[in-house]
Amino acid sequence: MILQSLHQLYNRLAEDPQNGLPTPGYSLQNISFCVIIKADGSLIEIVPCRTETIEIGKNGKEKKTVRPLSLLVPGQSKPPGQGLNPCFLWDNTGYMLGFKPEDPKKSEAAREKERIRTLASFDAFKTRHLETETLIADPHFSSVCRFLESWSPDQAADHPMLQEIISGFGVFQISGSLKYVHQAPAVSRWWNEQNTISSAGETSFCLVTGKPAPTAATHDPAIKSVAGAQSSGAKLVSFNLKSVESFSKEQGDNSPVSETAAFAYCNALNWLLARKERRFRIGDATTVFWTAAATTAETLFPWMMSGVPEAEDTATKNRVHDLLKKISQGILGRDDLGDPTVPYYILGLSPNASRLSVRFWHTGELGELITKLKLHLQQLSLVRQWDETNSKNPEPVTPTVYQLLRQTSRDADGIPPLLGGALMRAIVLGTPYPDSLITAVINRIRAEREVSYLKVAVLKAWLIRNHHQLITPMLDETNVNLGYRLGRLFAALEKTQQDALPDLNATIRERFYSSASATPRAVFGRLLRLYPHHLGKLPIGGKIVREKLVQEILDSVQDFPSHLNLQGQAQFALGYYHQRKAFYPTKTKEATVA
Amino acid sequence: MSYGIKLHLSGDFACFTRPEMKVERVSYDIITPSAARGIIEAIYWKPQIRWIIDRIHVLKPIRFTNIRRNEVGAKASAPTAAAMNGDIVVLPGIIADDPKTRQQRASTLLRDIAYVIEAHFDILDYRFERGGPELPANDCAGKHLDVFKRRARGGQCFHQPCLGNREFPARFSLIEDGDPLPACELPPEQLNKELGWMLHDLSYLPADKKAKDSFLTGRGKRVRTEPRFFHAQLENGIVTVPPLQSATA
Repeated sequence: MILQSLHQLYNRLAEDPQNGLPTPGYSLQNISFCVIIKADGSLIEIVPCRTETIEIGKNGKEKKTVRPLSLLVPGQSKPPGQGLNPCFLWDNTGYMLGFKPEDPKKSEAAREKERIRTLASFDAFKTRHLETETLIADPHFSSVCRFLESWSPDQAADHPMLQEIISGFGVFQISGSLKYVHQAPAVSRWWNEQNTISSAGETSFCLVTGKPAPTAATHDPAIKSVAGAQSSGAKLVSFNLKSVESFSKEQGDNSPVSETAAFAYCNALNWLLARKERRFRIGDATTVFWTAAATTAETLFPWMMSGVPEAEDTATKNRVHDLLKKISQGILGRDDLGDPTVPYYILGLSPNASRLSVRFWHTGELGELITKLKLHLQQLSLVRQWDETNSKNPEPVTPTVYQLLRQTSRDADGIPPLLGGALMRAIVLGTPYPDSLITAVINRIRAEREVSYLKVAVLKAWLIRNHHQLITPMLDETNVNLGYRLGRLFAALEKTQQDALPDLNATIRERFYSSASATPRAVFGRLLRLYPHHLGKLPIGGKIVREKLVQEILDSVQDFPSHLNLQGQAQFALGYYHQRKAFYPTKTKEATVA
Repeated sequence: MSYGIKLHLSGDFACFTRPEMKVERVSYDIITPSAARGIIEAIYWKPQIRWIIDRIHVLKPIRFTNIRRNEVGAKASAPTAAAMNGDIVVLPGIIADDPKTRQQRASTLLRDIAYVIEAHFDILDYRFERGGPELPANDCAGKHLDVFKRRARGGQCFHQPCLGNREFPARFSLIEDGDPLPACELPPEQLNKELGWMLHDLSYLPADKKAKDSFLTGRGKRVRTEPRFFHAQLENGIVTVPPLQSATA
């Protein structure tokens, strides 16, 4: 399922070398410096390896970000542990040069201990390379060996650049050569041979490929770039507890996955997560999206769900908005997002210490996903309070998942963690929306006393999908639902008060909204007693129009209920919003013509 | 005479944990043959019979949900297990609320499931294998079959059968010979579906001490297990389970 699909993705991506996926035996590492040496092994200089990208930040100013170079290097991630584990032709400053910036906060004894360890690690690094010199027999590699022999860690102090590189890895380069030393043909040939020898041994069934192969004890490389997880990476598949080991089996033997399959799926997932156009956040889950074959949807869907980042260019933004509009109107071309019969995969991961847990996993056909998305957007569609005609920041016609989730909490951190997954599931599968979403939104409305567009849109979609009620995007005068009518009445009473007393600081909405929507009987009697006084202050024309409206609304109201349930409260908010919007109609061109 | 039975299973939640994701649990799409066998054995089992799952009918749409549960990170030690069995009195115990042991883990579960399990059993004739007289197979099989049916009709079981985890009890009812099967409510896109490699069951192999994953059984035999997998495929809402021998190890 998850692993199989990721394995297929790796095979697809690996066909194109442009994608830069690691092949077995290699890994992508962030390289931040390069040691340039002469052919005889003498040092020329130590230079930083960085790429600079210029992005346009949120404030519209250019922001320069400096990132280490991402390079394919021999071996997997830096081996963990207390022992000395030198890497091959790449490592941190401690191993490569026997130099580590000292932490002045530590005690002298601790620093001394660290100094000794750093020297020992350099020795281990040197020994590892000198041992293999004759086996590799490459002039560039020999130059590195000469350098390691002649280098004394004391010299590090002469290179102020090293003080800046606190963390990060480095590689070797021979002056005049375009490639790094670990990329030399003889070196990689030798390295590949080493790998094929080590992988021979006992084989067992692999549950990803279905073929017998050596089982991976741990699944490497670790999965990086999942928000909230350890920055060094976390594992999707790991057995790090006694309670999860069965039948005396240890580590990877608990679930036989071959080394090659583990390598492939981990790298495919890392590849997706490393790309900002492929990953998006839903609540606390870092989510990736891909399809079984290359499609336009692969790069655009994440942005359709989470919104286009500010830094993207206007063309991309418009394209995504345009597609969403087309989907909601049901006029999307058959192949606008790719072949509709292609299977899609959505994987939501959330961190739990050093492990990752699967928040959600959805698969199906792309066409089906678009149909479900269309349904969702149509059910959400509501007349906007602030649109292009009356605001510089119009509200979105097609809100993103994050914008909807944001309505449940005062600050972004307060969004309930499970809600994102549940909402995503409802959208993608077309199943009922989670009731907890509505409870949270109604609570926010009552707390803020502000009935905003996005909140009402959520309530509307919920009423349509979960309770099969017929609700229009704009005011529906024929709707006789009690909650809806009371909401409209409340809006009319508030407007009358505002017209009569325009300078009030707190209107009846601020004072009575939450009790009027929850326990109408307790409040409406009082409000209706106030109403004639407000009405009396209106000019005669306004008086008649308002009185007619209130009579029309009250027409089907037999009684004020003692309380309204969740559905009733949602209807109340909707009726209030619709009626209020009808008091301040948007002046469109069609309206003036009519 | 057929020794086959049909059992209708249903439940609100189920978690047939995938071996590769058993820490932060993710369930298989449908019940595994070994889980189905466990449920049948909870109703009736004797050392003389071995239950074999033939077919799994999936009746309800495959739906997932996500919860967080408090689990433990440690295993009960051998003395604790002995104390639980009542062999010794002093209980060293495993304190589940100890923050070192207690762990919160996420599970991706199945919601609202229903299956019909078609199964039969084989008679294991130990005496015949050791050179004794052969059992009159049919008589003996008839007895076991009737006992099973009587127990299943009455809702009897040795222990409450569960859907993957003990937290998710299974409801069961016997489908009598000739009775129609409950209607299948699978949506069209799920009727025929590739479910990938799925755990069939474990096979127990004799092992020597050198094998690092070997362990002693209750009878003192040294064995090791080997998981066997089969290629599961929903065809018209039914997964046909191959014999364990033909499943890949």
